[in-house]
Amino acid sequence: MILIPKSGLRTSLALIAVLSLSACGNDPEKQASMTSVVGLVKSPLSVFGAKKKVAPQPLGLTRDLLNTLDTPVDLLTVESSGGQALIAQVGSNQGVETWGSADEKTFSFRQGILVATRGLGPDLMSATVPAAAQLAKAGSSFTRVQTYLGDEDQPVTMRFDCQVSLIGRESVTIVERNYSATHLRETCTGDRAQFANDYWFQSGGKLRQSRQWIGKNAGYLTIQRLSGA
Amino acid sequence: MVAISTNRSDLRKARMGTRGAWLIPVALALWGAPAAAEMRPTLNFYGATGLIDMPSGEAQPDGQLSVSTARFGTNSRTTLSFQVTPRLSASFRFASIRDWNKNSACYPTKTCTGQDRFETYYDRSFDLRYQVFRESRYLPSVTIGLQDFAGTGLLSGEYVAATKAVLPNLKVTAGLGWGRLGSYGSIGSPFGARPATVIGFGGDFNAKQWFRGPAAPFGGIEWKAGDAWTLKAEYSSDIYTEEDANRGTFRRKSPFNLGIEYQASENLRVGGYFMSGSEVGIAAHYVINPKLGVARGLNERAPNPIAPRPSRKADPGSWTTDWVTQENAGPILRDNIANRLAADGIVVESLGLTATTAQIRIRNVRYDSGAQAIGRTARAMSQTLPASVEVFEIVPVVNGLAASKVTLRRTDLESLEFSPDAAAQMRDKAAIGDVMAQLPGAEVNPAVYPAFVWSVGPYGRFRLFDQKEPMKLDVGVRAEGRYELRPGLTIEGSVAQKIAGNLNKRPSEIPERMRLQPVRSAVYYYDRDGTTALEKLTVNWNSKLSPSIYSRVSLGYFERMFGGISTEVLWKPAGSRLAFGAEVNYVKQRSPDGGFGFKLPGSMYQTDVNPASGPASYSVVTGNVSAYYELAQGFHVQLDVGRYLAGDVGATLSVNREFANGWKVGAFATKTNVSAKDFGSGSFDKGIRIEVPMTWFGGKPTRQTSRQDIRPFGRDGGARLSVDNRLYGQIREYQAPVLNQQFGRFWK
Repeated sequence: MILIPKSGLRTSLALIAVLSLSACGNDPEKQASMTSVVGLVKSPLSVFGAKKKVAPQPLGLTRDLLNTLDTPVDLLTVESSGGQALIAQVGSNQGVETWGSADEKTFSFRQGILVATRGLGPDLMSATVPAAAQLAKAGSSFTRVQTYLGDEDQPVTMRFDCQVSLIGRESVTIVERNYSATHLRETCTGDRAQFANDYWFQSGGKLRQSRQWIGKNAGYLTIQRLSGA
Repeated sequence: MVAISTNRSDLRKARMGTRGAWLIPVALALWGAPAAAEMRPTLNFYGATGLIDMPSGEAQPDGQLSVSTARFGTNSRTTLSFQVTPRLSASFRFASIRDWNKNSACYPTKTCTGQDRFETYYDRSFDLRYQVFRESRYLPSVTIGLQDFAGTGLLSGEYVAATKAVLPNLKVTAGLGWGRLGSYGSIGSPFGARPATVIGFGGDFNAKQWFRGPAAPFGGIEWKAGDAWTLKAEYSSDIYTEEDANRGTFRRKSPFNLGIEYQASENLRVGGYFMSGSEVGIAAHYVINPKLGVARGLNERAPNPIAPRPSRKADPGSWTTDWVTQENAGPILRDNIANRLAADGIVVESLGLTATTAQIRIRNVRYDSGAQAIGRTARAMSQTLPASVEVFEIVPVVNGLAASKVTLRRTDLESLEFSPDAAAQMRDKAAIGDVMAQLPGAEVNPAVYPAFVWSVGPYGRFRLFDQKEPMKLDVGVRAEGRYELRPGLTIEGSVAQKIAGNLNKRPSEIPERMRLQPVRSAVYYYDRDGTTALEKLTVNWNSKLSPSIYSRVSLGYFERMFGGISTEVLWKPAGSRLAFGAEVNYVKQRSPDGGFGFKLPGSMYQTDVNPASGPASYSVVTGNVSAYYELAQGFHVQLDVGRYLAGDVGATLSVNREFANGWKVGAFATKTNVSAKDFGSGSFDKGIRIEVPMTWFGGKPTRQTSRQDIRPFGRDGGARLSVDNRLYGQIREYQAPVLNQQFGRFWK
């Protein structure tokens, strides 16, 4: 069927997809592919390259609302889609904290620095990152190593040389509250990509807000700490 | 003291004090925009890498599959091409030429015969190309190609082509062609005269013709005029002797072809052309590369994080082994794991335990990657099992067959979760081996067996290249059911009702079958008469005879055309690239009406030459011995030697390239003691096979695949029984060669 010239390959491929699945039943193998075709129509991840951005819905967060929560939460924004979610801690292992969102994506941090994502698709599989103290100090330099799954799902490692520079003192506003913070920028260059992460440290070294690079396909995310002073 | 308790919390619940609908999804649109690349190698009217009608010296990216359709004048070609290795590519083409008998005396009203009997001439052809040199700073890329090397010879031509990018946006190609590519502006015959084509039944190699006869130069340029636009101009060495001079289907006035092409998307390229000084041409090329990782675009739930154990020093109480004696500890722990894995589409068949080792048997119904299913199972075990359990044995089970045992140390999982090269290190520390025995308490999960699984949905049945028709299609509704009585024992069936389609349209020719029983060529009668058909109804019993020997017995209606008994054994150690198998079947040909009977009506023997007559029943003992071997880089070969459905004896060689994401592209050929004459068109059975994982379409993990065998000529020689669940295909995806290839997804 990949040889139908007239109706266009994409339609034909979708046709096979539709024909190969079942509309109803209790067979879990088939139900998964049902959602897969629905996904073909809806998913912004469509392999056929839907380029439209989904307009992000404002979360409508207020302090009153946050005060009703019984666990610390962060606000996470994925820049490429504008999608936002609250995340809360779901695990901890060897100094790495894993935080999850309601739609079952996870983000793992070592001292607030992103070391892994899961469920996004083009995930950051692992990373060796600097300590927060290194990032808080202008002028420090170090190497980062980040791993992704590339062609044929083989791990691909990217190396970056990074330097930290001071941007200045800034006031950061997060859900009705202002924080005074030092803005530092980590500039990283590698063979195949370059990126710049931004960090806003409060006095005492607490990381209040940051904008960090996940990878080439996933882009940047912003993490704002909503809890604590 | 550790008390084992029911624990249902999963990632979602553990997450936070969820209090409202304002927790909206992250809604990530992460599919990256492709970077604008340098000049990519483009495809020509033959679907081969090249200019407009002429080839070039370039090659496509490794693994690329393309479908091209091109037409100008009376010529139309549809080609499927595959870049088999970085240097080798292959194509399969379906071409047609309209007004074929225009110059014949019989045109347009009288009955034509022989070659003239076709108003439109249809032809299938195969190409092979090999890039001998890659482009370097000063030297061009050079490719040697064989076009239509095994067909009726209509499109046959050989060439050597060289291409060099002289500017970042300008490429120049020059080459020398033979056959039809040497038909205009010849410089002589450097390798001697070209012997006449012996068309015969087609499908044999024309090796004696290759690079013989007149050779002619060709060439052209390709200029990238903008991000998406390319202009092409070429000088063609093909004078279209048969089409123009002999048959007058169109007038070729000039050797020059001009074209403009537009890259509409990363995958689609279209072009408009002025051909031969006389005709307008159009072409479209759709390319996909199965090599691109699926995981990259996978929209799925995140795995549970590893739950590390407290250190023995900090919390000695949690490390005791008292729990082993607790009543029901096993079933409770099994259900705790099962609850966590349910969200991942992993079914827990059993859990056996000692104080330090747990062996879990799982069935993966969702992930197209076995390594990913195993990784998620390991995480769930780390979250639920008592601290004293250090060794995790994960046994993937397929239809009751324990395919392998992946042994992991919990300490490694804990220490490697965020390690920089976690996948490679984990693979190093994991052991993949054979399995037979279970651990204490490993009774079958009562929630899993017996089970009845059913589905009702649409189906499509294709037949490609049925003589004049590039494709015939039926659509309908199919109901399938599977009753799983216990691990390995199932009753399965499917019933189909056709709704619409044209498979019941009589083929324009039903050629003489010579001495062979119509085991496949009568399929038209099955399509016509079996509008409501019992497709399958089988009882299957899978079991293991030893840790590395598997067996299968199936009884019933296997496919629309045959039913009987099928038995198989397979030797395949979990760590081995090599496997051997043997299969013996006794089958009877089913009635074409799709019912339970085996009586064959005389009408199904009807051909254009013979009246309807033949035996009222047909049974045969068929079987084969098989050797399977996984080569490096995803190449896989299989050799079957045995007796086929028509009673003929011979061998089948299949070569597949298998991608980590489940795509399979391959070719097969069967040669038996049936003569080319008895076989008919095509001389022997051969074809290409493409299997596409459904995950690839929607970015949701699923194990469904769509498989298509494309046979240019479907005849009766070399036909094999179609039976579901042959052993090798069931178990190998959970054994070392395949798991190693995908181990990157262990941590996904």
